[in-house]
Amino acid sequence: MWLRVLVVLILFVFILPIVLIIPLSFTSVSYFQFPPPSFSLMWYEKVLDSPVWIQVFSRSLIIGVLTAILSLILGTMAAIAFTRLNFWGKNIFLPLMLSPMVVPGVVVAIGLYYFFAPFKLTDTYLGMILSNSVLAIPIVFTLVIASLKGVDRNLELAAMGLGSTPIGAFFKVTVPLMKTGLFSGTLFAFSIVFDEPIISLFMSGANTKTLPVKYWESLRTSIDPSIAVVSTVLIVMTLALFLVQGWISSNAAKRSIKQE
Amino acid sequence: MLKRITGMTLVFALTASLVACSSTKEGSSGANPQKLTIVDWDANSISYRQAAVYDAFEKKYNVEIVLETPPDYGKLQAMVDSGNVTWDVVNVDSFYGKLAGQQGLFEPLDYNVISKDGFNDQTATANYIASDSFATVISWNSSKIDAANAPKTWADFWDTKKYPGGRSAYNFVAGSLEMALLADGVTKDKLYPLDVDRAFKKLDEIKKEFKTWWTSGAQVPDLLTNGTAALATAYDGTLAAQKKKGTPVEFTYENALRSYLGWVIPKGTKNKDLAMKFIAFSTSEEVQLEYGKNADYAPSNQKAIDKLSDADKKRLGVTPELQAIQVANDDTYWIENFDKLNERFGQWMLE
Repeated sequence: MWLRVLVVLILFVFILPIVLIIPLSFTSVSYFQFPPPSFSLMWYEKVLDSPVWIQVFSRSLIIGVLTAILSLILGTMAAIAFTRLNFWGKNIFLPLMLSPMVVPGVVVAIGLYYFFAPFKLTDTYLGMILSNSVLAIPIVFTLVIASLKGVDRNLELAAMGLGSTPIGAFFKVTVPLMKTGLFSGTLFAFSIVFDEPIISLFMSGANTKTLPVKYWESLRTSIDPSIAVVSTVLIVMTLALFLVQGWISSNAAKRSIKQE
Repeated sequence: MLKRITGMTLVFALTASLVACSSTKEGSSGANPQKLTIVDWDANSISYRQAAVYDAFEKKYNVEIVLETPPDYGKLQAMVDSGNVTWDVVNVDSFYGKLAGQQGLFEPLDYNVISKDGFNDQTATANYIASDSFATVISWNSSKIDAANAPKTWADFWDTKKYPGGRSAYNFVAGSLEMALLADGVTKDKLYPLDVDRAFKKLDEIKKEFKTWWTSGAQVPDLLTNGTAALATAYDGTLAAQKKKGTPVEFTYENALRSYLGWVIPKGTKNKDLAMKFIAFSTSEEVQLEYGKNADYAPSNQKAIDKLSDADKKRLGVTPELQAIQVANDDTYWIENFDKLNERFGQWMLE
């Protein structure tokens, strides 16, 4: 009983700073005072009226979706190769794949900049998608490997034995079984674009400024509750995405139980 | 199932390539007008320069100005080193402008095109020229301290009996040593070279009052309103902007420390001539005067400052009396001594 209380307390302390931002976004004054003296929607009006915030938000959405798709395809391919095949250099492959997660963000950002600059890919959507994918692919890779370990190779072999092509077996048998891992990977890849300011700062320019860059800039110049509004929107969006993912995976679990 | 996935992938691939195509078309410049990429600090700074500088320049020279923010020095260095310079004119602080200028990061300014009239050796060097100045001022919460009892001098900042409560200042050695010496009674003309030991001794007196040292000017209004600091150093422009929004903060220009921001041209830019024209335009007397009327920062061109109305001079803290007491940051001293003093400051912080 006491263990449960302790766990709830710890979770509460973790979540509190994030939850506190939400009432702060409804404040009526131009600075952060908790509790707010009175509530108002003025900061929501200001952010929704501001063309810059809407622009960076929609840009981040587009780049996020495309990054998620690209990372999902490449990350899954890498994960399958890693778990199913034995190839020369497999030992170095794993640390190389994981390196963008381990190497400090600034170092990755500078490296990407030097690499993409001669191709004139800075300040372009393609450049932003590719550089954010560099961060997202290792995450998808890790999540899909974990998912693949739970898929019995024999099911694929059985499908091929019954006449399916290898690719057909992959899409009809393996993919449905790793659906949860694929979906989590996509979600993480998508949220990287909203999360990562350093790479975006280096790779973006006037035409491709994304939300984390604008957010970072606002923090440095004028801290007013419009930042709390943006934070609240991001918190709600992330929560919604994870709830959807939870619903999908519980549905998948229910369906597999029904089939038994 | 396979057909659906192939179909969806194809659709997304097409969309992606379309988006990529359209973005590169955005990037390619048309035959006319010419494009100039200028990097400013943030939305606030841009709004101050929008009408008087950017719009006016676009109209006069039939040029399209592309604005980017913020001026990340790491990115600037990477740009110049890689030879792929996309920024034509960048607004930087005077210390970096002079230091990086010595390291060869910028194009030398052509003073046949740019007029030095109204500038001195400190505000115009081989690679950098000041665009505006900001002041580090003493600030407080106006709902807690009223005008009659307001602090005026750095000795007031040190006076914990008259102004109890916390203190906060920029977590940076430059400025902190100067304010300590001024509080200790050193006069403006005897300030540089800094008596470092005396400064640290004076700082020790109120060290425990500093509940926090801020790292971004935007933090100060928050520190004052939530009570972490009774008195804090701050940037005049940031506070003026917050005051306009109704935040109860107030500050004084008396004894403020003056610092400058200015233009540089990254080495290797393809629009060097246009960049020079822009700098000449934005530092000229008429444009600087127009800028001073609407901005919360003071112009850098002394001729323009002299022509400001008395009301504006007071608002920006550049009346002749105030200019006489304010202390300008000595960049030359700091370029020489920054490294060792910064180390000592860091150690002092840890004591």
